[in-house]
Amino acid sequence: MSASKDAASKAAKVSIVVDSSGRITGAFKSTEYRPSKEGDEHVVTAGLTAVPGQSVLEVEVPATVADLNGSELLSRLAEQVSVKALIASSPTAGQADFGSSQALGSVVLFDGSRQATEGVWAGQGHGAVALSPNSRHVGGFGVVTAGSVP
Amino acid sequence: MAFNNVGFFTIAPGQRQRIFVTFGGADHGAQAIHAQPLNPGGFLQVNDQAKVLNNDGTFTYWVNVTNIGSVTTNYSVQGGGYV
Repeated sequence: MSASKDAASKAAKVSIVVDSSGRITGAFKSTEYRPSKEGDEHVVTAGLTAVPGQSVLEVEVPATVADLNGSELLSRLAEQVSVKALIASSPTAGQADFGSSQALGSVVLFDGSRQATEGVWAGQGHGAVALSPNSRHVGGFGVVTAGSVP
Repeated sequence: MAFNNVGFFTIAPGQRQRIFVTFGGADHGAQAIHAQPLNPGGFLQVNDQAKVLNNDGTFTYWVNVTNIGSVTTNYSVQGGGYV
């Protein structure tokens, strides 16, 4: 087997970050830092976790894909059949089933002063939340209110 | 201790990633964690540094990395203690 065929046949694990629309917005490949200085005995490792609206999935792709970087890495990952299938079968954080709330036309978000912040949920259970400037949506949809602002 | 070139991350423009760093679970005091852009045009901002004492007694350090530039950016994590 040639060197190029050998490299192509090898699989490598990559963690991908997927947004609520199923788009791959990031990736992570593990490496660690081993200090050479005597006395610094601890190996340093890093990783990532999902923030609200994201999912982190581990995929196995050909090494030739995993070795790419930047936008080419993200686009080639998105083309992989196995990655597409995994994303399709994994409800992301932003695509959770909201049950009856799918029927809601809008969701009003409140800031600390109970003032409506003009947040509008454009969803069908899979949509995004638009926030006005200086407002913040933390975590899940803990407060979901349909109708007029009290 | 200082550390460099930990992990290989890729992030699209406008996106945020929540990163953790561990020193084998050991407490390394106050640690600053930053993102080292690896390609031209990389413009990464870090904030929300945090330190967690886990239930098993180990420590984990956390930071948010946001790509505030216009290009998909590769980065690794670097940092160190304040001493």
